[in-house]
Amino acid sequence: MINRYITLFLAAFLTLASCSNDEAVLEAPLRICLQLPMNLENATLEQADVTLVNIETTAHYSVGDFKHEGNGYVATAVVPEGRYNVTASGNISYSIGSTVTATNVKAEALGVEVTNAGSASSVVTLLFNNYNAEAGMVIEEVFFTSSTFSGTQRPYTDDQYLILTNNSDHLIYADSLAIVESKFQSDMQWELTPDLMKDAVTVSWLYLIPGNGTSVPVEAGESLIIALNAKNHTLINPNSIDLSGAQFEFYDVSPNTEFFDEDNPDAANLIKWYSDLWSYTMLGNKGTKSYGIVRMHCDYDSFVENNYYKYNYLVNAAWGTYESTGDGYFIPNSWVIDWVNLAIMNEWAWNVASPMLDSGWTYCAETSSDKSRYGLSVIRKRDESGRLVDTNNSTNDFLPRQKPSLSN
Amino acid sequence: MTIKRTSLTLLLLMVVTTINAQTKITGIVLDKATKDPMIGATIAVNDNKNVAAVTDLDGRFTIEVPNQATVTIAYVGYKTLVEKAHDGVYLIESQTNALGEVVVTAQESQQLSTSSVIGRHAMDHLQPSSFGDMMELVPGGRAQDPHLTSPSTISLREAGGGDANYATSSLGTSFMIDGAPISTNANMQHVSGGTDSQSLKRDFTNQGVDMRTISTDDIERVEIVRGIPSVEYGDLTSGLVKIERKRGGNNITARLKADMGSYLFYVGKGLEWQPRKLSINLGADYLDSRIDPRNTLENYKRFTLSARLHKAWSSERFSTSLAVNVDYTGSFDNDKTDPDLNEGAVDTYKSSYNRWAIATSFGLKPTNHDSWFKALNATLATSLDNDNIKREKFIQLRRATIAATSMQPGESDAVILPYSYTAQHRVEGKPFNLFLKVNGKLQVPSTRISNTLLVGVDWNVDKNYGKGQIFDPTRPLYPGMSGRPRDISQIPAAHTLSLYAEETLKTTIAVGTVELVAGVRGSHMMNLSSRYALSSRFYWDPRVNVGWTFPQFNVGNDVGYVKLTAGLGQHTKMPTIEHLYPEAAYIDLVQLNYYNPNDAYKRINIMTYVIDPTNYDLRAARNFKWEIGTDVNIAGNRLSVTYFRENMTSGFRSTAIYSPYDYKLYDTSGVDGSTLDGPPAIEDMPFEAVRELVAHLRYSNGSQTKKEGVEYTFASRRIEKIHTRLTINGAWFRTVHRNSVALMERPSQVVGDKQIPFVGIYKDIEGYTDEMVNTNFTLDTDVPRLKLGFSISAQCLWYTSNQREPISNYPDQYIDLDGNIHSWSPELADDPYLRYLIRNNTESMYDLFKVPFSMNVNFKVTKKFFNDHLHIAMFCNKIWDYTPSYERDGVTIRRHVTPYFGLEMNIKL
Repeated sequence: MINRYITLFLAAFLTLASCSNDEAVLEAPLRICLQLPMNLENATLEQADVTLVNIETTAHYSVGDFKHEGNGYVATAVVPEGRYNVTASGNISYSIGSTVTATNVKAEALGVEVTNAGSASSVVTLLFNNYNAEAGMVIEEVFFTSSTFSGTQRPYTDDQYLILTNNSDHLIYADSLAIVESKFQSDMQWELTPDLMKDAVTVSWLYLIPGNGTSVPVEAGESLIIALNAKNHTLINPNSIDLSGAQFEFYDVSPNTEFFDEDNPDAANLIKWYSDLWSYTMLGNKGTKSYGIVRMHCDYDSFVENNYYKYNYLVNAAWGTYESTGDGYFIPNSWVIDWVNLAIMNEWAWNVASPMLDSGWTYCAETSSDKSRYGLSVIRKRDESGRLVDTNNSTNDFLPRQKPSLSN
Repeated sequence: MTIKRTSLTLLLLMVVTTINAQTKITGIVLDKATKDPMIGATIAVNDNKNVAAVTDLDGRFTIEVPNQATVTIAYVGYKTLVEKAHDGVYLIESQTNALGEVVVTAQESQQLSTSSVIGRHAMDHLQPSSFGDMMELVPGGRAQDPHLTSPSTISLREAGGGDANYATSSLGTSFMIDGAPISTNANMQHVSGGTDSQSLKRDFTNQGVDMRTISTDDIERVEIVRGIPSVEYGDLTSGLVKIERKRGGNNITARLKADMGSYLFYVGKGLEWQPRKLSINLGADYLDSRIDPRNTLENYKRFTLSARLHKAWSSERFSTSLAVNVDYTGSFDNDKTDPDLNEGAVDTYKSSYNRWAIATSFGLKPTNHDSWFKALNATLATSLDNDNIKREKFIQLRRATIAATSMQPGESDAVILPYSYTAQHRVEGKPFNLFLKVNGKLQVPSTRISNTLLVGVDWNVDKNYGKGQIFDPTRPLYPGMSGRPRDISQIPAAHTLSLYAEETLKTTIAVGTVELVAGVRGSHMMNLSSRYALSSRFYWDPRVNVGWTFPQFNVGNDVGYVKLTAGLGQHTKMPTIEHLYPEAAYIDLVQLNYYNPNDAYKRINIMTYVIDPTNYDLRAARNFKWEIGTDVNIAGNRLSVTYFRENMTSGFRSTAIYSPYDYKLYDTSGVDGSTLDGPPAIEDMPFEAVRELVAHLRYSNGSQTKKEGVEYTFASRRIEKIHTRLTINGAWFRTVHRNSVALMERPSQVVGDKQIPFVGIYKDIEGYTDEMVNTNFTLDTDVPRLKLGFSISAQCLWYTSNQREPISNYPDQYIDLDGNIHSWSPELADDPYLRYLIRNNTESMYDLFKVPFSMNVNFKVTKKFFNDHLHIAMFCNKIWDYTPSYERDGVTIRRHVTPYFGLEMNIKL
């Protein structure tokens, strides 16, 4: 990648040099204003790199020294007149509640005209976007409803799974990707104080894919199966699914016989960082909880130290309203790689994540007591090219009430 | 001493003044309506205002009078009788209850201790299905729809309901039927580890008597002592229910009742041979109740049989009596899930109580009335139950589950449960009770002071011969729970010995009548190992009730009087067998969890600790009460008001005790699953020594119940012209329920891969203040000419309120994984683990929650036909109601009331 840029840069330099003899190149100043995302509190720019690429000549120019001015950051570049594509990337720190967190940001402006005409210099304003999803890893399927026993039609809850797929055209390492469940439910809307929803999601559990950085390569188009319990469930329940091929499983070690969990040595265990329940972990089988994958930007110790979130909320009980307190851990939206909101079709009250992450929702259950939900899954659509559709709108991106892809 | 001297002086005076007297007469003063002896009635001779004699325990008096003298007999609340002196019976008439008066409400007793008396007429008019229905008549009561499909326990002077941790109030209300107790001290009928509503809602262990089991048709009279009972009665904290059943008569009576949830059939027969002073009464009753008339699967049935014999003899020296009662009570709960709605799977709950009781009472009275010795009574009562709970349920596991089965401490392998099986859980209890009571009454002869000294002793034995919890631990009803079978017949019997003495004094002086009942009761538990603190404790319950009645005054043609009463007393309830000998706690810790796709190679190894959860420091629950009251009676209209306070800080409570337990965490990563030919050996497997904080439950004296309130009853005289009488009764109760010992809680969050390894110790866990104010206005009309009686009762609940007491969100102390106790300090609030010890209560949780006014109107009617042989009665509760919606936090709360009807037919031949 870097080599390619150097080549391009050299090529551009040579072109410029070769032209310089023919005509005089007029230079003009371009004032670049970087604006931080308006939804962030106490945001400060830690570092920024802006690259200008001349559309005609493909010449590259870098600008790095920005000064705080008003509510933005400003620098002026003097470049040959022409049309430029301006891309900016940077790193900002900001507060979520009382915690300071950091995120990578980027922004771009295409076809910016730089001329010397008139007295005023050209100006480009770039608004940084803190949603910084790595294009690539997506949640392809969530089988959260689990199956039922053939015959009695009673629930069998051990066979839930998620499929994560590399939707890019390059290799991605899934090491240290976290799988999280939302703390809040889509069928119960709460007024939260403080409300971090625009900046962060609140989770009820968080598990990490183990690895040293390159242990879990996922080739373009390949998937990872994350099972609640990696074993061939059809041996127990013919209605169920063979998950013995899962790469990872949720394993909750507990001395308590009531919370017994099987640990298949053939599937690596996810690393547990947090759960708000001492019991074994399950996905909410009605679909009121939502799920996401997250790139953690910190280690465990700073996570438990800094990402603790205590909130108040109003409960509207049948006999009145009272304020209650809850707690959990928050994950900045910018860390979230993919998110899927789930709901019960007739019980949807709100989305538990910012519309930046997912502006829609998908479902299996139509009503809260819908027993037909069992054995159904939500699966991401594919476009004509076979690529998974990812518009950050699960209503559009997912097919509800599908036969699980792993069932036979 | 002074009393004795005064009486001696008086005696001398009498001898002097009546030196010329000619006749010595002996009279007996009885209530005209009830024929009860009037104790302490004053006798004056001719125009002399001075009291010449007072009646004794039998209502008897002896005086010497001049020829042709008249005697004036006075008793507070009764019309003064002036009659020519004669030997024999003098009948005095109550000012409130005229002869033959029909009373359809509870009346405040004339005794010093605050109590409600419910007579046969009131029961006939109320049309109860079980004893629980009678609670409507007690101040603070309101008609409730009978919910016969779950046990009903008594609640006296209590607003709001506490949970099982505050059940000492009902456990500490003693029920005596014809002098014999219904002991529930050995009731251990609960499904151990039960988490399902079928089992939980029918568990009333350690909660006292299930009032559903008491049928009302054989009852003649009930007295519910809400205040301070005589020291004759013990093993109680909160109240006493004295039930007297019918004796004598020569009728066949039958009753058929049907209401919206049940039907009841009763037949009784009385046989009486008056000359031989012998009577036999037989009764049988059957009640069939469903949770909903259309639901045949969840129901309650009761079957009772009663045979009661009474015989009296008179000899020259003594009159004696003997009563023998034999009773059977069967009480059956059934709850079955419709297989059609349960995928064809079995899910049943059956509970049966079969109680056989024999009670013998013996009474002896000397015929010589000058004797100091007045009476000897002895009761020997015994009962044996055969109680069974059978729970059968088809279990289909949702995920892999294991069962620990080792009954011994140490390491063992757990069983992996099959995914589907039918669990059978049985609970067999055979509570046995033996109660022996002997007491005597002594009286110092006196013409001025009516006095009685009661001295007695009782001995109570409770034992359970049942096999307890019976189930196959490899097919458990509650998968994953660490329960084990338990044979309860091994538990030793609980013996309590009590003795008591009580003096009752009454004297009339110029400024009024003074009454005093003062006594003390000592009780002691025996047959306890010396490890129990209780084994060396004697509990002394002093109880005093005093009364002062101002002299009667005239209101027009009628008289009035005012009485002031006060009382205070201590009450003690010994722990039950379940409290003293709780089930062992099995703490099972998974040490090895080896999975292999081949089931035969899986291995789960467990470390088991068997913990004796007995609290050897457990004490008896004690309730201290005091009250003041007044009784104003004007022209037959009576108002009684009592203000009371009760405080019990040592109610029984089940509390969690956390301790660290060591176990090994085996590392199975070295096991090569493909080379195994059986489960892996653990002998050489590497392990990490780890520790976990685990709780077991222990009974403690950790619940406080504080009661305060005012009870009032106004009963008017029947207004002749409209045959109608007005009764107004009600109460204001304020009850506080809170924990009285520090309790432990462990946060459930998992940070990292381990549950927070700290346990918080909190001084306050909960505290609730409930209040209620109600008034029932009852107009009852009795038209003797039409043989018609009806009543309209407007039952107003002015408000109920509930408020939580603010509690600190911070622990006072905490326990770490090594079991060390540390003090909490504010900087720990930021520790990523310890911050979970901070509780999440907010100010708004302490808001007062008030439910405003509501009123139900109940209508009841009875009509007699065919020379009183047929008697038809009907009730309609909530025939009209005013239950407005109300707002809370901007939310409108609507309330709905549905009427409840019933109809019955009584035949008396």
